[in-house]
Amino acid sequence: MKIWEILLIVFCVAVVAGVIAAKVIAKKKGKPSCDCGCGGCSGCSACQKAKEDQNRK
Amino acid sequence: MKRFALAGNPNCGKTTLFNSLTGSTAHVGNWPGVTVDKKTGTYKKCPEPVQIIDLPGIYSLSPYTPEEVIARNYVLDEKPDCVINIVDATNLERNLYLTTQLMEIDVPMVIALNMMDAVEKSGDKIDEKELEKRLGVPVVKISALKEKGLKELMDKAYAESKSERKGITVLEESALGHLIGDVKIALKGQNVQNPLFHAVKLVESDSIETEMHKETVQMINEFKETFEDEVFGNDFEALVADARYKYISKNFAPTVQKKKKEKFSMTRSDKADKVMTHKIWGIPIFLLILFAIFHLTFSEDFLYLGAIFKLPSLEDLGLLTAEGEPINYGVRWLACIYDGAVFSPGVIINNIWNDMLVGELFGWLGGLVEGSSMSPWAIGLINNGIFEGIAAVLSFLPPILVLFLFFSILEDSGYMARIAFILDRMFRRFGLSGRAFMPMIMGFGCSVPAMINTRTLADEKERTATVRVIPFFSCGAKLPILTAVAGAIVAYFHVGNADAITFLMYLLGIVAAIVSVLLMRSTTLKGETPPFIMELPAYHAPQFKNLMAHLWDKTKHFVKKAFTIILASTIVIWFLTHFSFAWKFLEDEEINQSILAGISQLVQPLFTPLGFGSQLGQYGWVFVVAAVAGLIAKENVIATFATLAACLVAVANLNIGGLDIAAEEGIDAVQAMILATGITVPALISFIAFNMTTIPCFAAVGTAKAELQDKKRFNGTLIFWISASYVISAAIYTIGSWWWTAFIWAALIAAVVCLIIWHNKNAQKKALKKV
Repeated sequence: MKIWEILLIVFCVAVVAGVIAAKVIAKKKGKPSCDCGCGGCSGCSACQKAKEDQNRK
Repeated sequence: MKRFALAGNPNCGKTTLFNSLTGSTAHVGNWPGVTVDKKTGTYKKCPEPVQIIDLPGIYSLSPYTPEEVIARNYVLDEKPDCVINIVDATNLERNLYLTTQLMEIDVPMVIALNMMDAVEKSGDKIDEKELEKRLGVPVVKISALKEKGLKELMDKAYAESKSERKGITVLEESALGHLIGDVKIALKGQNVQNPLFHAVKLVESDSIETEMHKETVQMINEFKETFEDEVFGNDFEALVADARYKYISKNFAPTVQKKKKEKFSMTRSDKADKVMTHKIWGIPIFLLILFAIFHLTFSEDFLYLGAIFKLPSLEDLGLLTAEGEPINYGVRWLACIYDGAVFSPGVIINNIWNDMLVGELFGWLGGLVEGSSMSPWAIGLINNGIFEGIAAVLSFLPPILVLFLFFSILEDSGYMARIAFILDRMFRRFGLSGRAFMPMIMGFGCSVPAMINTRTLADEKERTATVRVIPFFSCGAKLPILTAVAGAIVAYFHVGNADAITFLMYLLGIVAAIVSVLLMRSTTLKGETPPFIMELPAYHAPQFKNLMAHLWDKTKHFVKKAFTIILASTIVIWFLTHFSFAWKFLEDEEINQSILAGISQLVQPLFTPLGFGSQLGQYGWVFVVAAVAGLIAKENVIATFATLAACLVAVANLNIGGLDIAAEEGIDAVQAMILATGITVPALISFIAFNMTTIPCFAAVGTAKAELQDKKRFNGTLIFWISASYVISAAIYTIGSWWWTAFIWAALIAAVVCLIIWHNKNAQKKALKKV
């Protein structure tokens, strides 16, 4: 196997693992996972609040 | 850091002011209820940085709506250093009602008279010095939109925040003045903070206050028993409201000098509303506008000029080679704009983006990879797995942006609020108020904020019904599915127009939502439809800055999604289609032995009644994979098609022959699927309907779970999504394939309706017997 092919596999594994890890971390931090963007969202802090409410429960 | 809260009526310009002060791009809409929760940002031009808190729009500090509770709790509990009360100067008297309540809280306060540009334009004048004197609170004239007077406002607010302020009330001289004074003293004795505010609310019989100060309530009730007003009787809330308005009319209204008008004249907005909100023409006009938007975005025959004038194609003009390629670079550009018809603006932008940019870029990258010394599997992974998936999704960026540009124009102009008003009459018959339409409209953008926006609905059952149908309003992520499949139907079967199919699918979503709500509200989610009162904002020209902010936000997150979650999904799908259960690497021709094929073929029969199950033969499982991949993110459906289409093209060369398809465009990818599986038009429409109405993406499911809170209701929602999508898609497929099945469906619907009527009558009888 060539070095490029090894790097390609590493890249693919990193992308998949990175995306999953980012989603899990975001969820744990109470951040929204909608990818709609908080800047333009009318209820962005509400996402956080919903999570906080759940935690409090 | 100091904290300043922005408080005011809905649609008075708080978020516009917030964006101007903090440089944020928070969503601004020309309809009440855009902001449902507080947002924070920083203003840096004061001697020290100031945190700005944008509170949701409210009419009063009574706890009737979630927004009112949020705003009230923030001002009372978080104790900001200053409250900037934004007042719509074009509607001073009504806006000052909230001001009189905020004044009762012990917090520094400044009043910002917003929209002064509109007041001056109409020829009216406001004496702000006199108003300041009468209110006892600093008043600054501003225009948040034109960013005028903001520095002065912030300087005044900063100066005010340094000193303490005690609450004052306009009710002192009213019939309740004495009682309020006594209650205030009693509360002060109990060390209650903001005693004046709490005293007034206790007199109003505010539910939160009576719960908090039980011992004081008795004293108030004793007084109330001896008090009777001629007009309002014992309704103390109405009595307080009346006293406030009387005071405002008497003392504050004279500070406004209205331009003398010879007779009553209608504003431009009023004149436009006579047509746009007409009780008969309102809905047809709305549908016409919606169709025009889809025509401008998706039509390959702008204004149907090609069909009307029988315009010649590029081939007729001899501008194509024998292989059907443009004869030179200039004709390539011309082909983006014209081919037998002038394309609509959306299609022109789309063609330029795909043919001249994305296609070129990924074609070049693919060529580089092909020419490298890498193994065939690595070339396949990069070209088919990564490039095809991303390119197919990115190819839909232009139609999404054009469509959302039009939606943003509708929203910014104030027309969206009118749609809620028009639809209220219709929605009310089905058990929803027009207010529920606002989150549904937001669902066209993304289901997640739309579901959060349902917090503005006070009735829990109405809220649940709305959350359940929001995914039926096709979000931006579903647009690639619609466009690709509709485009492929037109290109492959030569059936209909892409704009008409897309428009009809959007309508199908709206109709499905209405029918579902009707069913839910007459069975499991029965309840009163709350009244809908909404202030219609004046029409105004959309702000370029706002429109661009919306589009930039959309682009940023679409591209980010393509290079994260879509990229990861396409890699996983490529691996699963190129390895067998025995962990053996498979060539493109062998994908039918892959892990993905094995699993998909197991569940494939379930989709047979929907038209994309077992009847599609050996490659039919690709539709099942696409539909399931869509649960992660709906764009994945097309990315999956593109990845699998690249493999199928290789298969087709062996088994089908003569297939010439570049799968990096979503529409071509779907055509490859049609060729390989033999799927029919009704089955393709059923496939779109299934993806539109089934369980939305994981993010939306998570939001629904958080918003509904009740586990039983959430499970019911999941079952509802699965069954609704199954029934709708099955009906479309069977009626489209065998027209006579329409009678069977009609009989089934009639039976369900009869069952509901019978059930409701039975329930009524039982209730009567109990009484």
